[in-house]
Amino acid sequence: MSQSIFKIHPAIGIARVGNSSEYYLAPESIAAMPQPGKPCDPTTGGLPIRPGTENTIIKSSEFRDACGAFKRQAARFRIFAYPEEEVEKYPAANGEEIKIGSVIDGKKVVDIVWSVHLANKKCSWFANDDDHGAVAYDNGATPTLRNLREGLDPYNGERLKKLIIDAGPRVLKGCNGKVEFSPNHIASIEKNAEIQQLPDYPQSFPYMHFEQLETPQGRIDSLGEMETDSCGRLIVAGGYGKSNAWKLDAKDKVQINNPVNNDQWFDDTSDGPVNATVQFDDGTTATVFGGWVVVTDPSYAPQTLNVVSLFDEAYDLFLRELDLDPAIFSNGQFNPNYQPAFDDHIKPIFRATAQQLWNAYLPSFAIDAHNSVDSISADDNPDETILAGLAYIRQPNAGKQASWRSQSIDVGAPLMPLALGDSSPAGGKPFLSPTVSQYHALHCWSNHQYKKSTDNPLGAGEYLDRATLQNCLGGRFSPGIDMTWVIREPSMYVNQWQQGAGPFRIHHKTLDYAAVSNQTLGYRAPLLTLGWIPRHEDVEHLGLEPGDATKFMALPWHADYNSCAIHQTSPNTQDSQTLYWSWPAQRPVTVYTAQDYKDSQIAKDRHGLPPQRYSVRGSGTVPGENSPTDSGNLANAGRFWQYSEMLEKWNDIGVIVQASIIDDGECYPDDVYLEVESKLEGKTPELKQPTPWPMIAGNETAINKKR
Amino acid sequence: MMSIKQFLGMRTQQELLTSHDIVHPKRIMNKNLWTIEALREHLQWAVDVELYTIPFYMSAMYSVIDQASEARRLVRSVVNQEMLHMQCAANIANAYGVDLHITAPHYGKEVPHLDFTENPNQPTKVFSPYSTQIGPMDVERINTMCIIECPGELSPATLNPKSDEYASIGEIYNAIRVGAAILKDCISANVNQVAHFQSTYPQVSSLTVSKDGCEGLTQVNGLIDLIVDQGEGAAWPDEKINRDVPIEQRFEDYQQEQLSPEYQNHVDDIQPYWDHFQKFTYLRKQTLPETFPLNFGSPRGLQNQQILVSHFGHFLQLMNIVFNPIYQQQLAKENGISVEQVQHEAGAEFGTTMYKVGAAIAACWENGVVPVFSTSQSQTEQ
Repeated sequence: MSQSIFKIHPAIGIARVGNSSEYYLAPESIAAMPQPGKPCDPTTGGLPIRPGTENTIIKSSEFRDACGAFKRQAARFRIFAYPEEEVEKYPAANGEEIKIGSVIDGKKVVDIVWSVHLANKKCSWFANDDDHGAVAYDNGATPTLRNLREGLDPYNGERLKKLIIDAGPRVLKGCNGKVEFSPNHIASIEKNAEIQQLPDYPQSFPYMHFEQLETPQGRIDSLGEMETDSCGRLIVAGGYGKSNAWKLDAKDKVQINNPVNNDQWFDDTSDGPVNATVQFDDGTTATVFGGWVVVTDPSYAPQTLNVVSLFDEAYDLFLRELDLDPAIFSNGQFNPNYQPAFDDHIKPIFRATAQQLWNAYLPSFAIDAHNSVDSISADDNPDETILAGLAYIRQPNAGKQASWRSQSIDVGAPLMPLALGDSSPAGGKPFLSPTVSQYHALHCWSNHQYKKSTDNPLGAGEYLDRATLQNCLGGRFSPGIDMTWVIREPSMYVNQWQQGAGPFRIHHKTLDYAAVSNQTLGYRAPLLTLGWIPRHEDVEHLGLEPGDATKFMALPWHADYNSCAIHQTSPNTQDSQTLYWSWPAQRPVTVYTAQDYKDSQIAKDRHGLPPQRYSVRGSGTVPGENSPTDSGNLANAGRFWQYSEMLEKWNDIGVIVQASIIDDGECYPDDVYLEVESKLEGKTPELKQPTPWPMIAGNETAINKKR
Repeated sequence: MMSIKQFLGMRTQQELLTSHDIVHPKRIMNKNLWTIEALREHLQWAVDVELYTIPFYMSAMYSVIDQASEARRLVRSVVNQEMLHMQCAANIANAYGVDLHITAPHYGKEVPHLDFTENPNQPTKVFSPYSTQIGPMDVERINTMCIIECPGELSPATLNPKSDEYASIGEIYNAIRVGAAILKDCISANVNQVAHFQSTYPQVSSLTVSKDGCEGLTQVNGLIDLIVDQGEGAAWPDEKINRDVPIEQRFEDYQQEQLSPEYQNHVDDIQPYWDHFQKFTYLRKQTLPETFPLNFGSPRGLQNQQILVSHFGHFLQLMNIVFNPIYQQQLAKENGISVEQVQHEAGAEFGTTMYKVGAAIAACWENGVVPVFSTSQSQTEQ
């Protein structure tokens, strides 16, 4: 009898902060695409799942709890068994989920022991270097350290101890268990499929090191919790969206004046490894290829598909650098006979194009054009469509492997995507472009070299990997929202994925938990170190520690979320005042509210839609009114003039969902996506109505009437 | 729902796509000869000329392989402004009650209604060789673009008094300016005015004619200023012309003052201060960009040409509807719907069809064939 191998899926799970103690489960379907197994359901994928159910999507009223607090998104992990192969291929497609009670290889699963370790290293890490991204770590270099007041040596143990939020590891087994990533619960590890407590583990939270803290929404004293459900799956819910800042003295008023790097601040996002051991009725156990959980910003538009997602980035990397599928790409080039599947590789790009209108403002003709893109089917002659000749697709930045003709393209309209690229005055991408692999698939389609549907479908576990990452932001890593450019770093992953792990799996660093117990009482050195440093040969191959995936992100995340609505390009060689979107799928700029949609007194446009409102609106967002230096610049519209306001209002932002799940008693058509559950009321900004393209920055450009 | 395709009964795609004989205009030099009919005829010619430039320039633009090339970007900026110019010309025409007819330009012959050989600046001698055939971004095409956008002269004394034809776009618009002023009482405000591009030129007070009489005339003159200034730039005043140097040298010395600020495109123009003539004469001095190779006889390419003709024919229909209120009324009557519904539905198709035309041009080049825009030409190619 062949032996099975076991893997956790999704390989990377995405949890999201919320200020409620309750949670919903992360979506397990791809935004804007049909839900798997529900071809006739008009509701598209990307929506969260009601806890306690297999795949029941939530209604709009379930984004908040009974008190109005914004629920967290928990990541659900499962274990799949695969027949052992000498050399794994992708997709393997033949995985089967196992739960407690499942029988596999003639043995019954009697328990699953789950281990998770969450940490946040942002504060101890280097400043996010927008000017260089990954390049800032080349040749042994690093950007400037954050929080230099706490020491100049990034490796100093005392510094790390103070600045890393480390809840330590936790272990759960059985069904319906729960343990918190907080000092309320003792750290624990798995040993011989049993739970071993680590009472001496040096858990670290800001309040343990800093006496005077600013705590806008309360003290950070937890990174969330992990639970097991009724069949032994794992659920990880993260932090509460809190931010804490330590004061240098009693009079210190800690500022937030930068979108990505703010000293003295913590937030409670986190990440870390997810491992499991399967126990069988014959007393044997099996190890499992582990996953990773990332706890990040909320998703306010879960059904808006990114044109370039984290999956697209990871797929492009694995395809072109890690031998994902030699039939598609090998020896440095694409197979000239490769035929991408329309439903798998092409349609998602078209769907994503059409979804942008729900979170960004587009003129009518652009909406028409996007709808025309969305209407393209596998049966259409590409030459007759609006994308014939790929006339409107921005070619990818050349990069080191690209074979496409152009270099970095700073041409905006009519090229798509019309969103900003990786920002960098030092030579980044002014505009987003598809990945090289995406562009190649489009190029094949354009040349009639494609098949209508895939004949190589993903297995259920592999689909979870893809759906999870495809619902996250790729491109525009400046630094990004869910994960940043690290998704493009080969050293982050298990490179030898063919030896059982499968692709897209983060390489775990082995942690010596025993060393904690061996320390003498008193000072407890932190277990976690500076950790994984990309492009540093001495450490990058060691794998990631808890906190190593999110440490590259903005601190606190709220500041960057506030900032990244609309910007001028960077670089901006023409000194253009034109504004473009950063991350409309993850950070909605303008929205159609359900309230406006159903208000018969509000005039609708020829698409049947009311005027848009800013997603971030109300008092404090009105350019020209906030300070003497606030000139009414349209670039400042739709965000708080003070970054710090977002620290307390992020949980008031509404969510954009398909009208088919809005349960307010009204009837809506299925094909509109409207904002619900916003609590950002108060003063209505006297801003210009979001005007069609182009948006132009400058004094008073945001103001409707001169005062 | 109205089907634009049903518009066939009124102005068939085939009819719109078929080449027509070029009307040779009667140049009006005497103010006393202006009639409303003559002005309307001139405004139709202006629309014809503006339309003529768009497929010609677009084809050259999409022949360039590199999306980011300076050539492609400069010509794109011109194409966008030519679309604006056509809109402005149509707005003026509608203000004066023109029954506009928009048909496919016929390339390879004369530029309609203009005789550049009469231009005292002699562009056809300087910018040679040239060709009005649709083609890639090459010497012939760039020279033709320079000729089309070449400034005239302000002084009527330098123009050939015996010529019956206009020698530059500027001259035809100067004539319209005179006729429009004489006939300002014929202006009807807000007749089928189209106002795209306003956000790109926020300092332009109005892209439409929304007033009658003298105020309307001010708006008409503003639109003409925009067209001429962005296009060929201001005509060469006598004092700026050094007649002691060979004509070729005059173009070399040509230093246009910056475009008026309100006409500058600071949204996405890489040379917002340059008029079209400057852009094209600049490109003429640069190394030619790499263009798609031709692959004569490619079956797919021939199919691409047919697709382009079909999209362009549909686009011509839409332009007729969008720019001609008479068609709108007829369509509304035939379909039992309101004029607003006609405008709504034509508007919904307009942008998408325009993009499809651009895409089809790109696909032609990608597949090694020259874009075609009229039925007769398409048949010739085949």
